[in-house]
Amino acid sequence: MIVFDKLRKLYGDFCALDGIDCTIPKGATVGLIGPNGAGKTTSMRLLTTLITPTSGDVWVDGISVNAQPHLVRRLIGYMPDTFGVYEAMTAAEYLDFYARCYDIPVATRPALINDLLGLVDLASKRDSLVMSLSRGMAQRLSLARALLHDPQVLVLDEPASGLDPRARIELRALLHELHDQGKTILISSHILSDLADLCTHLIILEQGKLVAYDTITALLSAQQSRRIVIQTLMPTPALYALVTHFNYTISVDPQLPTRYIVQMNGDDAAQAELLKACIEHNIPVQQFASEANTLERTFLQVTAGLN
Amino acid sequence: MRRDINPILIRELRGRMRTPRAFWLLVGFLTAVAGTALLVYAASYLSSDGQSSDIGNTVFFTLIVTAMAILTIMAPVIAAGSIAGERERQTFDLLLTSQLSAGTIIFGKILATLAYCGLLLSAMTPLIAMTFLMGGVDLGELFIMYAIICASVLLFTSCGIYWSTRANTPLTAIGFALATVLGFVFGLPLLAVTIPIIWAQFLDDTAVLDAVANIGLAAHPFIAMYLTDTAIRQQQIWTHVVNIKGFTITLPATWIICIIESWIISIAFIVAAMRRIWPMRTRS
Repeated sequence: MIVFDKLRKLYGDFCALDGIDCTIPKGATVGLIGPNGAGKTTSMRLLTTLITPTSGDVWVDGISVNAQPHLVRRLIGYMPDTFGVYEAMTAAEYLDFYARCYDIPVATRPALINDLLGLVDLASKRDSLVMSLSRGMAQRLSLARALLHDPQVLVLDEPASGLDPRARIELRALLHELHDQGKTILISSHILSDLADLCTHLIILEQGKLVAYDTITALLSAQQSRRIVIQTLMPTPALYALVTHFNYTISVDPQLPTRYIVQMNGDDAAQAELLKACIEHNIPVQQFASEANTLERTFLQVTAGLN
Repeated sequence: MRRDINPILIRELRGRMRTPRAFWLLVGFLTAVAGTALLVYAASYLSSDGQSSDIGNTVFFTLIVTAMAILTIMAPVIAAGSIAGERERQTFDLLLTSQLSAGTIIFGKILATLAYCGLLLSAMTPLIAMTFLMGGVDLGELFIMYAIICASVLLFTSCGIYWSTRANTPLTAIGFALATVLGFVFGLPLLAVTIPIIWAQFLDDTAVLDAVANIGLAAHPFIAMYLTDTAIRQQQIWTHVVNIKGFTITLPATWIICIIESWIISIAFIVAAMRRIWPMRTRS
């Protein structure tokens, strides 16, 4: 659906994107993560035809952003990280204005606007001034605007920034619904827990380079390092010696005399082997648990040492 | 399928007319124009021999020049805030990612500014009508003066729009637009005064310079108004004649040259503005 083809963008001497190459399948929800200045917004602005690449290209459904930007714009709904407002305009008028900008026929416009306001749960705010809407409502209205021309691809730049927990949950539910409708969604966010819940794929950028791109499941399981919590019934000095000398151990953090956090390489078999060793050494294990790999940890591990 | 009116035009007019600012600007404009005309009327009445047609013509000219003076400031200020305002409100990217062409955006902004200036001029109609009661003004003169105003407002609006595409904030755009327009309004007469003096140091024959100056100065709305008013009194509405080294050359009237020159410069500003806002936007 979306192909980043050796995409490179320079701002003077500064390289914002350095040869990004990846293919996003149709219907995927892709999280774009990376620290500030990693190239997330630049990637989105290139995809939405707001800027031109220095070299390379982006293809959306087989259409080149460089060659036919006006056709690409038909396929893309863009929601920037800021919600720009016009004075003295109601929510319905706001959508009507953008519907005109997308050449949506006048006959279908009123019904479409009502449907979209219903979809984003703003039907009751139809005649409210846009300026009077809360941040969460404004974000949902912005999403409705991005959906006006029924785009195949949604590009959402930090959609949850500044939202309260309830608004975030509502927005997440809405994005799940759009994913179920078959939209391809590219979403950048610093809230990694939200992305873990929403996304099927993940792109990790760092200093303009593509550090990792895969499905969330593959990225999480690919991380060899895992944290094991071992709790014993009583202080057991032998456990420290055991885990320290265990083949796969990276580090040991004795939090309490009865509690150790073991950072280790290896897969599930290695973890089972450690448990077996503890039992064989008569260590009174009360708890032996592997902490699930989170997106935060995956991100930190993937980008470790790049700065 | 019915073609929609330019969405930018609709949004601009809707947004502008819903704010109290539009009302107060209209009140301010009419107060300034009517107040100036009243003062000139009083002065003319006291100093003249009571010839109504002379007073009517003077008041008419005052109304037109005052309106032009206000629009000379107002048109570039309104236009300069338009695109830069979209940038400041962070709504510009949304326009660029829509199906609107650069031309639609620019023309929408220009038409919205012209429409508001048109509203101000229309609101002045009762004042103009009163000068007809006094006499000394005919309908042709009114149309010609309005044509000069419209062409000049288009020129100043285009200049404002151009600077609006270059600046990131409305304040910067307004500053540059006003500097350009006021530089033109005050700079051109200054050149008209200084160049002949320098010219006379080297050449005796100033006929060519006079002809060129006549054409060049015609773009200046106030000079064009003054020359047109004089020409109308001499019954030279459509043409004027210049003599260069014994040759008689008939040129279009100053107001026609003013309109043509204003159009040409406006088109240049508009094309430059369209190129500025969107290097990526192509329609293949």
